[in-house]
Amino acid sequence: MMRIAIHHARRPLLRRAQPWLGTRVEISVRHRDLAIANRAIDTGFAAIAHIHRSMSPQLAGSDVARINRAAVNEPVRVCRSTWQVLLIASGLHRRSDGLFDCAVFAGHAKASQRDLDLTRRHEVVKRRPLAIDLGGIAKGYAVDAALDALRDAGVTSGCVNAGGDIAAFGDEPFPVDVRDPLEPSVCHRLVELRNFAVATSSIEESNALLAGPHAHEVEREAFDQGASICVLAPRCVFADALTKVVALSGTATHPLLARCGASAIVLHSRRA
Amino acid sequence: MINRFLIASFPVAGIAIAAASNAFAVEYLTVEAAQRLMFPSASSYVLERPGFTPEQMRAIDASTHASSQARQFLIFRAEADQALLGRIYVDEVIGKSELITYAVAIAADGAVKQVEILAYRESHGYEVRDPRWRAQFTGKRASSPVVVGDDIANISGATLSSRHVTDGVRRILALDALIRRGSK
Repeated sequence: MMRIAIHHARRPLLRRAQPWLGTRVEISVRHRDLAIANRAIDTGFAAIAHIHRSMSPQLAGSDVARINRAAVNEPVRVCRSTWQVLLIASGLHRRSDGLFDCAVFAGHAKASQRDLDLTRRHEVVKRRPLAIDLGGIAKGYAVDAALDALRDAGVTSGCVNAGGDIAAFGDEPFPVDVRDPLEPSVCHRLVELRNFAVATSSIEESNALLAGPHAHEVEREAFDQGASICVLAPRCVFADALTKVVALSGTATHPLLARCGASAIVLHSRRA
Repeated sequence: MINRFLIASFPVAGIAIAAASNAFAVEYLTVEAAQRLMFPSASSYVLERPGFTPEQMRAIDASTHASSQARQFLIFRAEADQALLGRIYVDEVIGKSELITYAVAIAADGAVKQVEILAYRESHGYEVRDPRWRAQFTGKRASSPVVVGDDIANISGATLSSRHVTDGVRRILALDALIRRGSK
């Protein structure tokens, strides 16, 4: 115990939180020099703020709001970050046979993410009337971007948590708990996170997505309504997106997990 | 590290290793640490009591569709050589099952400079609205600006809305505009 205490005294943990992306974003950093640690956290939050401003559907000037307002066949310029998220979303949409879909209803029942044409670098065009919501995948991407910023700022180790989408880097692990779906006031240790990411979705959250374009194609017998799905992946953007693929496919061994170097854990809300 | 997770799916009992208590609390920053962080060039942070009338407060709450649940709503003037750099507002909001203390820094021109969450306490059930539950955190502020809490784990899947903080910031912006009009 004593050794642990001394160890912590040498490398203190600085932890701050700000409201972004509709949730509480927490950044933890370990470094000997507190001024460097604070500056690193500032750069992490700046990266998150940029993604919030580009991808929040509620902000009128964001890329996502402009895409949603645009007319069919009207080209929309987006920033580098939005472009990268759309590229990742498009790849996941294709490789999950349409299960992952960031298109939301906008008047055309058959509209899907396929109708958002990534025409050329940093430019998209809608081929049908539709709106998109990058919600979870943008959150995962923001966690990765903030973690990259911490790494560049030269701290020893760091962890970013955006409403339960978590990634950590460095030589010291960060403990991550998950709520017990049977007893939400109780948490269980899920992982000692180091140079890896984790995201958790409840089946209830994922079912909300089923109001989307592919509701009729999805079988939902596999998991009970209160179950939670945790996905561990090298990057948080994949961890978050894959929780939806697992929830909607009803299998924790969907082949896309292995392709992304990820694995899934399902916490059932009923006792076996 | 992730060898434990090669098994793709198993019931929760399989990983029931550590159980936490019913209340979950994190103290991020003291008010003093937030002041230094938000206006580092200030030489003093002076407590300000603007003395709003109840009518003014009601008008603000109505126009911003927000209200404060703060036990102590604090306003500080950040000054350097008697010149005003901006103000720091310390407020509290209650969400569905959490109590959040946060600080908003607003520059002298009325622009939001920074929003920091100072403390966060979560409970399941009615406790968050119970003054006795809230009282246990009163005065629980470390003298150090650093919160050393390696025992506090991140919780995956704890998606909590920051809507109440966003509403609170909107209300504080309206209050700040009122203060700036009054001091002209």
